[in-house]
Amino acid sequence: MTDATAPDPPSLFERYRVPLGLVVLVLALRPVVSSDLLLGFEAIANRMLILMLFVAAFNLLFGFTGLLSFGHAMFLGFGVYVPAIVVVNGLPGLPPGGSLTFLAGVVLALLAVAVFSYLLARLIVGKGEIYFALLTLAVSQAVYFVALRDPGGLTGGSNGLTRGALPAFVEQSRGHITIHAFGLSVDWYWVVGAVFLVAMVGLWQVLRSPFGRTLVAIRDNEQLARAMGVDTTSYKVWSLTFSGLLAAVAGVLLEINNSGASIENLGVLTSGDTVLMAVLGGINYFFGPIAGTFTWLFAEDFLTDFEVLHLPTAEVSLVSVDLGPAFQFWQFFLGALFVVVVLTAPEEGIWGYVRSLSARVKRRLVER
Amino acid sequence: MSEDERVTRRAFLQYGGATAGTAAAISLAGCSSGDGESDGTGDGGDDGSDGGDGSDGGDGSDGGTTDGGAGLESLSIGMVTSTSGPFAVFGNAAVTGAELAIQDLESEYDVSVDLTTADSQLDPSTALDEARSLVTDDGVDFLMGAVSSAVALKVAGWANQNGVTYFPTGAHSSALTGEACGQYVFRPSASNSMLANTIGAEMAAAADEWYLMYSDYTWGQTAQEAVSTILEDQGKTVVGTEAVPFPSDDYAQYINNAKASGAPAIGVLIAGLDLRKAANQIIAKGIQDRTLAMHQLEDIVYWGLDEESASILDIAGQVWGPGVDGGDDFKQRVADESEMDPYVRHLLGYMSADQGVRAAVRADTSDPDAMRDTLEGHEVDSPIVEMKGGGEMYWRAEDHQLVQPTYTVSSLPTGEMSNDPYKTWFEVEETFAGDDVVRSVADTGCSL
Amino acid sequence: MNDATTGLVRRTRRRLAGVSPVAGVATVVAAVLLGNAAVQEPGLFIDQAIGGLVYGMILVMLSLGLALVLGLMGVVNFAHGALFMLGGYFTYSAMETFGLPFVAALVVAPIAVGIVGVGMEVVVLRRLYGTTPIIGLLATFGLTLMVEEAARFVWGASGLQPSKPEVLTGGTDLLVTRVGSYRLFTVFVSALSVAVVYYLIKNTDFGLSVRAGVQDGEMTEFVGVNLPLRFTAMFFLGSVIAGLGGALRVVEFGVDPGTAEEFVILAFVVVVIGGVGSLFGSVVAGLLVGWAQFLLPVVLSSLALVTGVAAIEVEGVGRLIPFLVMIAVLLVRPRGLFGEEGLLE
Repeated sequence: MTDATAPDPPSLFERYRVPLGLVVLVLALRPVVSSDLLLGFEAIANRMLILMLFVAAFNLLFGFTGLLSFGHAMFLGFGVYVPAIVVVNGLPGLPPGGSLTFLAGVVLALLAVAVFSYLLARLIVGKGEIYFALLTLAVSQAVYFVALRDPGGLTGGSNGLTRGALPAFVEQSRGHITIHAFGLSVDWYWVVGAVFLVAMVGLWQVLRSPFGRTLVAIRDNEQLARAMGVDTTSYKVWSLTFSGLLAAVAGVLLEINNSGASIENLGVLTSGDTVLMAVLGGINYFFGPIAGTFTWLFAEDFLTDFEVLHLPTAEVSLVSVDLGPAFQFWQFFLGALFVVVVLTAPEEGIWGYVRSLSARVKRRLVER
Repeated sequence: MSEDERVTRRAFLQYGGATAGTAAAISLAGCSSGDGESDGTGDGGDDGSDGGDGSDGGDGSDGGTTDGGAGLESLSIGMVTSTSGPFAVFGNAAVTGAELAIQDLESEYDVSVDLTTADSQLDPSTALDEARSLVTDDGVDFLMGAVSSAVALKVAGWANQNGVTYFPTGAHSSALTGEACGQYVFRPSASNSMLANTIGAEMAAAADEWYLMYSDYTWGQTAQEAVSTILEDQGKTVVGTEAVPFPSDDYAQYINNAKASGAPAIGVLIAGLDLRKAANQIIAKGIQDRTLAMHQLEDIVYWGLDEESASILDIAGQVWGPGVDGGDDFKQRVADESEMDPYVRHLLGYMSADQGVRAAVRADTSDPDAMRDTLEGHEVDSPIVEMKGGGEMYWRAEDHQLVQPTYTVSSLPTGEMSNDPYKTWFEVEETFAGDDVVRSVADTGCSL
Repeated sequence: MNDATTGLVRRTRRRLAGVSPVAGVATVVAAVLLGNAAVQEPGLFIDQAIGGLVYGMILVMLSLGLALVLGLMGVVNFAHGALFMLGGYFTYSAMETFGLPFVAALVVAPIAVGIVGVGMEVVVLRRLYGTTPIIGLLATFGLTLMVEEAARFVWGASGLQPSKPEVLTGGTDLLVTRVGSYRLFTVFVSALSVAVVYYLIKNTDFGLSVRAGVQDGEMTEFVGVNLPLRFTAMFFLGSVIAGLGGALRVVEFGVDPGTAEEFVILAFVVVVIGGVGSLFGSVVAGLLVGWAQFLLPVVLSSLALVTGVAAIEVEGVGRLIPFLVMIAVLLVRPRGLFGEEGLLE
């Protein structure tokens, strides 16, 4: 059975394991996360999915095209701020707070971010890795300070936008968000899940396409790609444009999730956290950003609530270790893990490790 | 094929079972612990899975509401405030005040109250996540807290949309009981407009031309608007205003501009401990002999300066301070039980918890609508009245503002500043009744 | 016209010929605007100029270390801001916890930072020599996070500020205005330390051997120079001076866990504007950034006064300017003002 015969063509399962995995993720995330065993509350699942999408958008640019952006928050910001501004102020012909107004805002946001990222990309993709990173940082800081200045009273400066920033079809009650559309009432989580699924499957398709493969080729060896006649600049520009667009989609979801816009959505911490989550998760893999985001957010919630570790069980406690104070500084440990990942296996990350582990386990099991 | 499958599954169970089991055991242990301190003897940290342990409808639709009429047995309060960062001193003081209130309330009523705190990190979006987590995860009955008005504004907006009662403990921005007012938000402190009215007459009498420096967020912005309005109503001129980013390291630029404006009087509407930096710069630039006014003096800001710097303010308004005649027991308790000298934030924390719990007890439920109905128009008669000097206090129904006395204070001469049993560096000049300083309902811009 | 004047004219003409028209026009415009501001509001102008000088010198001290490491060793050290921050924290601890006098703290803290820096270099940065710059940037970014959290653990999350020594509180009269004495002290100390570092790099054998090592490591080692040791020593120097910058700053402005990120971004802006690989560029750029941030509001308000167009006086541009300049520099002339071509591209 172990002769060198031709390998079986990949089964249907194999070929579509990414979309299947995504569907499982969306279906399982909230129940798993809200079980008492883990975090015990649901709302975090919304945030997880939204940020997973955002980090995946970032990783399109970094993991799959090889361009490090230290200012991805600005694209997210477009998706958060533009719909909020439109809903608060209304448009000619569309009243503030209306559902159609919101949709118009979303369209406007996506158009604006597409134009912005395209133009920005045209300016900066040719500049070299480090300069590109610094430029994205500088532009994102510039956008941050401009929004902070509250031009025309639109962005609300450091206060952000809260009042009137949600369209009529959103209903909230004690932390539960429900969407009323087309006569249906849908739990917000499923709306987020649906958008997430569509966006991520779209991303997967892009990465599978010739366009996506060319991006990977550019990442691996740009000079070779250019020598083969690929217009690398054009590919990079489109990669950045698409990445920005996807990030803005996540931003739109975040706007509804957070009842408005906050200046920190544009801040350097948001951008920095994104880099951390992506690298931690594994930039070479489609599921890497997802794993990284999950780990980061999980750690943030789980570890900060962690107080005393009883060994072996809570009832029969022989040894109790007060870990609360140490775990408040969970970012230190994840930061250390991040440094280790960067130094030893920068493209692998957690997902890479999980995969190699499961490959080893599978091998061990089959060998039995 | 099937045999392999069976082997595979068995092997997996053997192999994976042990690991999964240990992981489960550890996480179980981690989650079910941490209920040691039920009445939150405070270190301001997250008290974790306390009272509303998730079993109380933590992920349900209305966390922790007890049956109406069955008698309220326990209450869970969620407090989102700054326990780290530039406002940490203020947030932690409010937590201490809340804890003292809970001690008193538990002995007065037959209700067990617990407090869960969360750190807003001075960021509105973090505060929103924490507030949401407190309501959905910890199942708190109502929310309180916030030092920064920007944080309060964000949480208040969310609370109004979600039907959660919220007391923005230490936020003074007029917007909270103005254009951003809402059904479920009740502000326990004085508003910027009340404080501006308090010092307005004295400011107008002191100088004809004023230059106003203010921290550039909702608190400072509404303060500047209120003060400008007061001055202009009395025929004085505001020669210039300066929006100072908050927080800032360097106040030299802005003090420079104030000095260059030539105005004989400067309004220093700067938030929190940044006021110390501004004060130091004022002295470094040598302009402390101009008339300086601030509408919301908090003693602690000045205790960090030397006594000469602490007395640079000529006109100061205050919500409360150790110099106010009242609440001596409370002041003593704060000094004894925490390691801090009492100041306004302690009282504000006390007031929020006090009023929230009493409202729930009166309504016999923690249902937000019932609590609102019993708060609107309610004339306060709890110990906080005496602590605030005995003046009339009531919750105005039209904007949910707690109408209360305010004070103008001035610093005591250096020799008379007392540090024992707690710091008293300021004395009350004049007391104003709440009704005299609160703006008319029409002016608030609030429609409930 | 006699010979001396002709000679002068000829030399000036030759010099001017080498200057690009853009630079020339820019300088003239800047001079006019500054002059206008100085004339309209002299007191404010001097105040802001001093403030800008202080801020700029601090930036120079921070960027010098970064430029040293980047230009000489090719490592993008994002953790440099963390060293700056530690300088502030160590100074605070030295003065408040251990009761050291100010001058002693000013010596002890930077040296402690230098030691931390060496530790950082030996454990992490050494593995990054020879890898792509992005890896270095990422690894040091992670380091910054670790240091920030460690700082939060040790010193808490609120801002800290030691008390200023008596003799330096208050102001000094300076022509048309009063300036904080401590600020003048900062300018003095930073100028001195920059001069010392400069001398070390340019005029000693030590600096020469490091520069040689960067140009051709193999050959330099062949000649018998212990390069890793020299690199470590250079890193020590860069860390010390960053720590000194932090020490000077903390007394006046305090320090908090966010200081690291806030300043490292500015340091990169300065290094990029000045030109990667040029120490002189970092000095000039640091001063320019500091002055731009402080003087721009004055320039704008004077311009608004003169022209009567109030809209010119845009508030809050100060913080935006460094980034706009960096963007402009990177787009138009990536090697910066004085940098060498091709580095990092």
